[in-house]
Amino acid sequence: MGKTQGLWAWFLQRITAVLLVFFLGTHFFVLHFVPGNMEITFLGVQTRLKSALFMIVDFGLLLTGLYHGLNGVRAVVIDWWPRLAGTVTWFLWIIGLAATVYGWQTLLVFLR
Amino acid sequence: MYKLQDPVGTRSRAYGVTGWKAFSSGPLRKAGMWAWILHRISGLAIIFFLLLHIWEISSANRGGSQLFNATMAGLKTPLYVFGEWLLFLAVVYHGINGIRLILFDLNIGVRQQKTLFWLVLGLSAVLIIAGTSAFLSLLG
Repeated sequence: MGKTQGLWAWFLQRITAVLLVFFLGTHFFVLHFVPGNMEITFLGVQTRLKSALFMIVDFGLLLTGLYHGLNGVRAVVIDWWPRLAGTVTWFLWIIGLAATVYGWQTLLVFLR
Repeated sequence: MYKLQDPVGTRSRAYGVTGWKAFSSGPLRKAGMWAWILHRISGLAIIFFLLLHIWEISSANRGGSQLFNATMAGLKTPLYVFGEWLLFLAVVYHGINGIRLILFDLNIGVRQQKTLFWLVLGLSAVLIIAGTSAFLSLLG
């Protein structure tokens, strides 16, 4: 029982969790509970993203949400399909990185 | 030396990355298992939604402002609003229970887990009731 494994994953899961309370809380609040934001339009999003704060929140949300969520899926796989865990982890990393790049490109579209 | 009572049953074979064994075999069996299973279900629902969300927002990438606005307008059906409300439930529970878990990891409130879990449910209910009106107004 000497090797330490998965320490970063465990640690980052909690760090991203705390960050998400802030990022996701802001995102949800601004989008659902601020009147006038109910209609989601390209122009509306563009206007909101002009503020640096929302750019940070939205991109931070993308990174932390993907990490936390996919790491969570990894935990489920380790629990229920332990022999597949190694392979699935690779796929989760690929999905995560692809989604991050695609999401970042999408955010940039609003800044053009 | 102060001896801490053992609320979760350390004779459980493994705490693992999720701690499910600790919760399922100790005296906290019922509440702990509900906490764990709800956390897992809500978590899986949220990541499933997140991937769809990235896809739907990136319609701006694929078709510019036209496809984006069309997609957003098309997603205003009552079924989708209901789905968003379910997501709201999942996020509220998962987040508040998550805070309880982090406190647990920091050795805060370890002996009061059952009480804390009821607090989590209570706070979740309050936030959900407070926020539901915003979703109802989308249906109007």
